[in-house]
Amino acid sequence: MPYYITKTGLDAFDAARAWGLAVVLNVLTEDEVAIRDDEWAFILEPAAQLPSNPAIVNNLAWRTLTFEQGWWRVFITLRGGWSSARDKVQSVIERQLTNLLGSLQNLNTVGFGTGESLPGGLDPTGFKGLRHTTRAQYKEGQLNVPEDHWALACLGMATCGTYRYAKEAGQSNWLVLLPVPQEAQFSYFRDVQDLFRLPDLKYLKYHGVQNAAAHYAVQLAERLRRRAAAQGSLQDRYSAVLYFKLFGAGQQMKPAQGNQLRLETLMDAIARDPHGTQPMLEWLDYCFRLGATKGAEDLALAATELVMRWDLEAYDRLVRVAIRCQAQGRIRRENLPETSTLKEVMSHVCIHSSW
Amino acid sequence: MSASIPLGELFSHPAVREFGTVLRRSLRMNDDYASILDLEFAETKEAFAEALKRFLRRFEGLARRKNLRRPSQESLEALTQLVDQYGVKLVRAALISHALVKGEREEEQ
Repeated sequence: MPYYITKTGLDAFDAARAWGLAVVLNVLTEDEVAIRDDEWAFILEPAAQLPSNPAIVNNLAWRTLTFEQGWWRVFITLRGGWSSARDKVQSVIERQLTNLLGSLQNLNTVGFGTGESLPGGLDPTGFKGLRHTTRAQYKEGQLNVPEDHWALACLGMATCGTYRYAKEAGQSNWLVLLPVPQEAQFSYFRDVQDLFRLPDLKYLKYHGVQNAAAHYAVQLAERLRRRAAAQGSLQDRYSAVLYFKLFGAGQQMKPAQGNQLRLETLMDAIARDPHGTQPMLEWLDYCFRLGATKGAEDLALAATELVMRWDLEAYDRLVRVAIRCQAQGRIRRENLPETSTLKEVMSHVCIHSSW
Repeated sequence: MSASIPLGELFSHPAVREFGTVLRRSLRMNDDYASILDLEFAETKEAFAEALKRFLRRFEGLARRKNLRRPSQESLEALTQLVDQYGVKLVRAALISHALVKGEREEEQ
């Protein structure tokens, strides 16, 4: 029986709801859930039948979700009070589960205007205004969404979103990343977290949220490649990585600079040859790691540009910057790409006819 | 100007490979980063030809000292034809890529 998450146009809100529903269905059925992006909606189909009278309250897997680290980050713009918001999410889902699942089995729309406002740690486009009383006159309506959809989105973001703390020029920032599923099997949320969470590389210093998103995309692609190589073909595809930055603005954290990084090129490369793409992904990963060191920022930015655009100009720039790093003695011989590695990169570079 | 040839094929073209290998040797054995910069700033066919000329002149000294093989005239003509056919940017990207690849160990100083 399929379930539909109709898209609203708020990309992070939509993708997070899809992940949230996948978590709920996975907890209820204890089996795989298929997620498919069908342009107008995410369609989710659990492999096993749902119990006739689904109850989630006493489910152990559900209760362990309380301890997810992502919760306070989703509600980071609330300052204090994130734990009560988390409890509310869980109680909304527990109370409204039957109605929610029933409504999502049919084609549905999300009505804006009433319900809960979207937290800034969830969707930058839906975030407005201040979250606590100030003496100044500041009137701007919040974007409110129905309570049940709000709860699903918060759950999805807390379990499948990636938050990375970064301090830039003395300012506290959080980089937020969320993959958008195109065709994926959700087996177990911890397994999905292993796939989505960045390794704890505290020494890596990113130069902006685009740089972090591009490195994240390459790391995600490498993990998917490993699975594809083991399984024989690419099973799970992701269409994009949504990313945005949360920055400390005195009174609270505020979202800024959001966009999405398309993953089609990397997914196509893995689907075509999971083994052949390994050196390419490793070399790109090396460029990001070297680019995180002092004096090699150009390399990180050039690699970011290539992963985002895959065009001749970006490729040309990356090669030139890498040659400069090599000439400066920053790249050792064993870290230089093989001819076949560069040919693999070139095979994905899009050549416009004007060139 | 046509761009139907993929970058990878251009990269594997014998003339590009020959010039690219020489460029890499020149860079690694002679610190000839100036030739990379000359090629980088070449936007037109004339500027590209001029950059190649300067590069070959710089390489000549190294080739004499280390008894290295110079690029052949046929390769130079083929490279010029490729520039006419596909434009400076594509040929330049393919050529410079050879300067980045691992290459042979004796190229290291």
